[in-house]
Amino acid sequence: MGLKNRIENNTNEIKKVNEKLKVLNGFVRPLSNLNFSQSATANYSATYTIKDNETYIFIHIPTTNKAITLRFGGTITSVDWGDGTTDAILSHTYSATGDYVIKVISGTSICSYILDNLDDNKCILKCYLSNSILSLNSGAFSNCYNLQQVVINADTVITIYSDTFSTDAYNTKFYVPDNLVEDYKVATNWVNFADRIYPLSSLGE
Amino acid sequence: MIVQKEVNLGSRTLLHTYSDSNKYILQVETNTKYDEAYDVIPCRYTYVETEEEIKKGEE
Repeated sequence: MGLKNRIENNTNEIKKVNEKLKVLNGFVRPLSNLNFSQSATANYSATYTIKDNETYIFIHIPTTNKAITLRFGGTITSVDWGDGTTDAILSHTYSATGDYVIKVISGTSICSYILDNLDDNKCILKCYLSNSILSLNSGAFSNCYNLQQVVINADTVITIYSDTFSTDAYNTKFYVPDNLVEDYKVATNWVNFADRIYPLSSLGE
Repeated sequence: MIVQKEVNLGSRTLLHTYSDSNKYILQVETNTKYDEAYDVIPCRYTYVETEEEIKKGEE
């Protein structure tokens, strides 16, 4: 291999590493001052670092003994419910009200509805999708009126249906890998959200 | 039958593609199935109607 080719290859590798670093920098920013609604404020003091195959769902549980069920496609090996419980079952009951961060490993898609109950979907504040999630099915985020952010970590444009998200009920921001922003803005059905798609490197700004 | 209509979204005009018989449509170039599709114009994709009926709420 010639010197010129080696330099070009190294330059490309450096670009890839830089893109990854941008992604990581976006994820490790503290998550705070999240406004759940006028009556409740979510307060996440921890810092979360996204790793491969990990999806994070930030929820507010409004009542005691609240049962929820997640709906993911693909194989789930672990669910950390954020209240000290970890298992591989997609249903859980929260004994106390409050804000929780659910970590799911890993899944390949999100089905409708993500919380199996249209009304429960209002509990979702943020969703950080792992790089293994490649499609969001019809209605997956229906009724997510409090959904502020969806962060996408896959290295390709993921598939959504025309009704995966409501087009006008809320103002969710979508953060995607920097090198895919323009692709997302013209991708099928993503075009409906073109003005809400941002690079991961701007997350937390 | 596949139906395609131009629709306005704010200041943008998109191409809305769907089946008039409630069937999924297939994006030929990517082999991806959709209930309906919104694309920029000119559209980079072609669509065909599948035999599968759309059932809302399915996984």
